[in-house]
Amino acid sequence: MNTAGERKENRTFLSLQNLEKIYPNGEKAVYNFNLDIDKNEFLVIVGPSGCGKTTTLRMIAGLEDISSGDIFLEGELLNYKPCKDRRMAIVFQSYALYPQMKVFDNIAFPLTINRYEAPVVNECLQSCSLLRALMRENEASKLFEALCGILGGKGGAKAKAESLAEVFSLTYECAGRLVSLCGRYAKQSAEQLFLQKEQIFAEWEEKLSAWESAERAALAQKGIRLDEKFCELDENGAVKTQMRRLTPYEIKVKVFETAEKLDLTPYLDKLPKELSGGQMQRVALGRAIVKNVPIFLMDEPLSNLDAKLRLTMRSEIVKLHNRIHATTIYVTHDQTEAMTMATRIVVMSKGFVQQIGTPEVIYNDPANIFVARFIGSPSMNVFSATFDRASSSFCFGGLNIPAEKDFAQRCREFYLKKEAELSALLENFDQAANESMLKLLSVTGEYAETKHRTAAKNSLWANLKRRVSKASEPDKYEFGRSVCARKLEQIRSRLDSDFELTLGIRPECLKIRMHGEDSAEKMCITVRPTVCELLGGEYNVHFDYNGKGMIGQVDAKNKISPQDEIDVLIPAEDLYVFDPITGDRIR
Amino acid sequence: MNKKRRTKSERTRLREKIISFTVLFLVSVVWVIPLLYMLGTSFKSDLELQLHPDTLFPTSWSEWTIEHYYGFIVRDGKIDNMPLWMLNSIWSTLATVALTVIVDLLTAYAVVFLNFKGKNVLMKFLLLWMAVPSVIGTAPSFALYSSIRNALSINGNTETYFYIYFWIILPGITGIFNMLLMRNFFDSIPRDIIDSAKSDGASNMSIFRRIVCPLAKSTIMLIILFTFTGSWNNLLWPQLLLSGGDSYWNTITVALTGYTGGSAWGANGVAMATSVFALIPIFVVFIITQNKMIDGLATTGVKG
Repeated sequence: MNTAGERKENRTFLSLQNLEKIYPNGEKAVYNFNLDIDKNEFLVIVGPSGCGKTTTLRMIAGLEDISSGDIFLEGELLNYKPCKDRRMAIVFQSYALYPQMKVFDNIAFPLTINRYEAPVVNECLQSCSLLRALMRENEASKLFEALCGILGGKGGAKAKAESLAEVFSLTYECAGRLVSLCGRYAKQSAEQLFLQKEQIFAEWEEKLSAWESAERAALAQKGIRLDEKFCELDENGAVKTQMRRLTPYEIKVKVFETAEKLDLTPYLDKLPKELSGGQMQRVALGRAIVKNVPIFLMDEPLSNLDAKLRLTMRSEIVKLHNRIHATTIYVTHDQTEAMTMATRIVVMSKGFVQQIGTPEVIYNDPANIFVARFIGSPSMNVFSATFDRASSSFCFGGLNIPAEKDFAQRCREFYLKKEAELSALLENFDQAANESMLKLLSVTGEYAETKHRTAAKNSLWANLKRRVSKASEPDKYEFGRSVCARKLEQIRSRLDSDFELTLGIRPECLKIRMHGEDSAEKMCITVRPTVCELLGGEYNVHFDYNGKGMIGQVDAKNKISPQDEIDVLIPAEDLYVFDPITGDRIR
Repeated sequence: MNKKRRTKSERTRLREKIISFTVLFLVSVVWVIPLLYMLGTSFKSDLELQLHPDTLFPTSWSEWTIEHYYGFIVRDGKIDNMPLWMLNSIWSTLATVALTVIVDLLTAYAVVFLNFKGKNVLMKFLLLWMAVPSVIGTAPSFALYSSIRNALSINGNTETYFYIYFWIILPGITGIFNMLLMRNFFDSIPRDIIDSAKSDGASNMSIFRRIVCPLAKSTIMLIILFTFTGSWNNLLWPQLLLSGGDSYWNTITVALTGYTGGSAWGANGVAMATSVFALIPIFVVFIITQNKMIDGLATTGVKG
């Protein structure tokens, strides 16, 4: 088992295996979540609210305990790692900026908290060489001018060193040494200094060599060797590293770099409450980017923004994802976001994964009726029609839509398979069978009933009564078993008679024309639209047929108003057929 | 006459304003008169003090004197105990305030942000404990105090002094009410902020220090004010512990009781001057905390 798991992990970047979450109150939020995520993937988990998508994300992030199952990151088990060691950055819907800190500090926060691996550098020698480079490369007059400007200004030695470090991009150690070098000439102007340039440089050079030789002697005594970048080497000649906090200068550089990427530089001095929603979200993104981690987790980051901003931020996030080559897991309830951003989509409902696939697959080849209805805007038209075995066609109102030739055969095979499955389950009804029943209900949407029942079962009064009467524990799977039996019965009755099926068709597949243009078609229905919504380029035409509200999309070139009669053609090849009992698609 | 007619809502608002102003004025007069009397009497000369009927302030400008404030510090040509009492009060109160704030912050953080076994039971116990009147604990506490003192055989002068003050300070910092204030505030901090700090790599200590505490500033101010007044005015328990001790060990509130009752020291002017002095620290703390405190009241959802 273990070895098989390991072999699998070698291929995948982030692997979630049988992830489940049971809350302390006994409610199960996520069932059996299996997913392998590749590097650089943009994975979107989408589903209606309360379907367990955020819980899944929080489990990956380590903010929520995992009830069962494993998470591997590049083959390393993550389950028991605290959140901070998981190399992930999370962006929340509420932005979660620290309200008392300025934008700069917000972005810098992860850098100030963590220790990073860095080579051990001999700062003394490094700063000597930096200072030599400074004297060599800068024009003396400009150098003295800048030096006098800063050193003649206000502030203590430390503040001066900081601004020097910033101007000449030096390390702090180096800037400190520069300040001490300039100590003798503090009172003089830049011109005066320039006149005695040779003398000053000679003096500095002398001091630098003195420092250097002292440091080298000390190092030789300790037996430490350095490479050409002044990094300390160990016995084997490899560069020694240590975990250390970043220096304020390094932090500053990184924060400015990130802020530039997100156009946040003008806002670094502001508090989060002075920013607009989009800016706050960018700060939150910046805080995630600055950590330089391989995985980004985003929990509905665009839900608090207005529609227009959401559109721009959507493309920003995708661009960002492509630029920094991170793996992103993005949670949303908005199917448009899922379709537009994802390289792969996970559709969830009531804690169950319904389908995993690329946006094209999810849209064009939905696995069951839930996915079909959830993805797509406006959503798919769904209606029930009787399948007439004799003529091999679907009867919907007055309409006869021909089915494919072997459809009856395929249908029969489908039901035989389901029958076998369900009867096997019913024979030996256990936890897994119960869960597969719950999954079936999550597809068809008959779930509310069970929730209510468990709530009643768990109530204090019921518990007390059970304890007092010492009655045997009622059958845990009673409900699941009854559902299974009912479904099985329904399926059996279908094996040898005509039956109702659920048909679905996407609004854009309906062919809508003005009535009378070309009424030769047989499969046309003629209706009056109830509402015509002009979206700009196209109309959403609402109409009723056979007591069922439907939506069609049509090009806005043809003007349509509720007074007109229209012909609607339902093309048989664009129909999706679903089994109303299990909700699965009959392919 | 082109007088602007007020609309109905404006008229009601005006009426409400007048009524509330009158009521507030009356109430504040009732509260302020003793204070004014105290302030006035502390400046009266000995002759004025014996006047009958009494007056709020000295009757003429020439009768104003600061003699009693002088008497506050010097009595019979020697430095009096009074400044020492003041010092006792100040250091014990400051210690109580500092410890209370630290303990309350830590407890509330643990209760709100950490998960540990028995958290709910602990919380219920603490709430229940708040319902017990503090007077009930006095007798057992005193028994405990004296038996520990016997067991440790604390007899030396300084030792006893610090032992007594340890006991004066300790019960003050265990108040549940302030902790609940803090907890309410912490509850109002969005969880996402804490979660995001965690995923940024912050340990509990750094979340506490760098995120939670700076946010809690106004609630801390509120707690400082509450604890300061509470501890400064604390009378019963210090009186119990300090009775029989050296007289210069007293706190200012215990000392003030010496001016009332049968064995009053009789110096009415000095008594009033002392009261004025005793009021000053509270006044100062109020001025410092009041702005922040109003924020604190608003965010913790407690009505004063």
